[in-house]
Amino acid sequence: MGERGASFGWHKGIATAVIVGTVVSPALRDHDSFPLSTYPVYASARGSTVTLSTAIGVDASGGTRRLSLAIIARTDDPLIAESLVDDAIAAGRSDALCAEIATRAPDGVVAIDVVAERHDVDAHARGNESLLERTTHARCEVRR
Amino acid sequence: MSTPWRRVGEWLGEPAPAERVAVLRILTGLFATVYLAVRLPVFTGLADRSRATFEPVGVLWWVDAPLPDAVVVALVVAALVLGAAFTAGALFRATGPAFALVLLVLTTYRSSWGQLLWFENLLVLHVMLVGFSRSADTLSVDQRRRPGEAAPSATAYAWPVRIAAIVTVITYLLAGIAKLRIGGLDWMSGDTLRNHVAYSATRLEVLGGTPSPFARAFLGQRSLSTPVAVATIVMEIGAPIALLGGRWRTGWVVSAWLFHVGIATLMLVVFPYPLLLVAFAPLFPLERLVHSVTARRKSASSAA
Repeated sequence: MGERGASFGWHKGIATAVIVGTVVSPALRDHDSFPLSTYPVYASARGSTVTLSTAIGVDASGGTRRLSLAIIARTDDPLIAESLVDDAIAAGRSDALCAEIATRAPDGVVAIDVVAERHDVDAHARGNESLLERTTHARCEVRR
Repeated sequence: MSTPWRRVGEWLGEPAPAERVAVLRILTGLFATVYLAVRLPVFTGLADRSRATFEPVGVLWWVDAPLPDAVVVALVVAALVLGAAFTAGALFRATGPAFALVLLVLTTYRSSWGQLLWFENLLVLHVMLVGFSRSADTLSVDQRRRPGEAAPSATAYAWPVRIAAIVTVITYLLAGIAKLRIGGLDWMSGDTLRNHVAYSATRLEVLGGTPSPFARAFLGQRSLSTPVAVATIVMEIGAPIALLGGRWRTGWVVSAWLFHVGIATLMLVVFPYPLLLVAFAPLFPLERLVHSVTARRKSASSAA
């Protein structure tokens, strides 16, 4: 014979309140963490210009080319790649990151630049050139 | 006790067959184990990350340096083995809580490198609820070894699933509140959403990925962004209606799923837990899956 709803005990009531309170608590404290979160996914206002940190390849003629996520950060996740390059620039470790990426550089690339690029995302959306500014934080040669 | 609280108590205390929480155990355990296996390089790659970017969060707040490489690899291997035992319901009194805790530590560790990732929060919370419940009384290795332990119906089989459903709903509600709190009502104008989609496409290209071909089409139709932004907020703030069950629940689940399909299509950001519907499973009477499979087997065997 199964239990009835009325048998829902006070201990489960307290446990329910504690669990719900714990999951809601980040929003009350405005503190994002893991796995308890305020879930601020896509919540922040974004302007139409953004600055993105990345690494680019330089060929023998001085031209630039995009590198893959795997070469930049050994990942398939742009969030992780972006935070890796951001953190390196912020912590003054651009040279070390540059040297590390250089070990994975594809054929035809003679140097790596760790850069911050400002883009007009509206222009990008329209299919136009979006790069407004590029600041180089580190350059390193590719040794083969 | 006043009537509304009594009703809430009755709803939370409603008994359910053992299959309900057992099916949730299998779904969450299978998802988590496969997810860990697929993302294995990301987790093992943590061993090579620079310690300068280590910012411990959550239950690891007290750790002052990255874990030794051997510990990270041991955690990943332990998680895979425990995940298989969790899913199969083997030695569950030990492996249920153990898997929940190892998964919590491993995913927290992954989020402790300067970038909180929201893909895994709900999965971890669900596995914690299921891992510490009586979810292996049936459809499990343990039940085969010790048959007859499961009661036909009990609150203990329903309550963890109800709480998991409430947690699912709260996560969406909090996401909606965060958008209004941080972005204000302007978030619904559509410009913020549009800029997020455009930002995501630009970021992918700058970081060597390939942006979604649908992003440009969406961004070219300015009139679309406002209704999509309003629908997003309505879906997230309206999440509690899913707890009413029936058509309210199903309608909400469809809209939440479409929201994730939209994100995946436009931004190539995949939230696999809701996309595969496992995140929404606690909102449904899961025992019906078992009954349906059993009935099909019976009809197939009687036809033969």
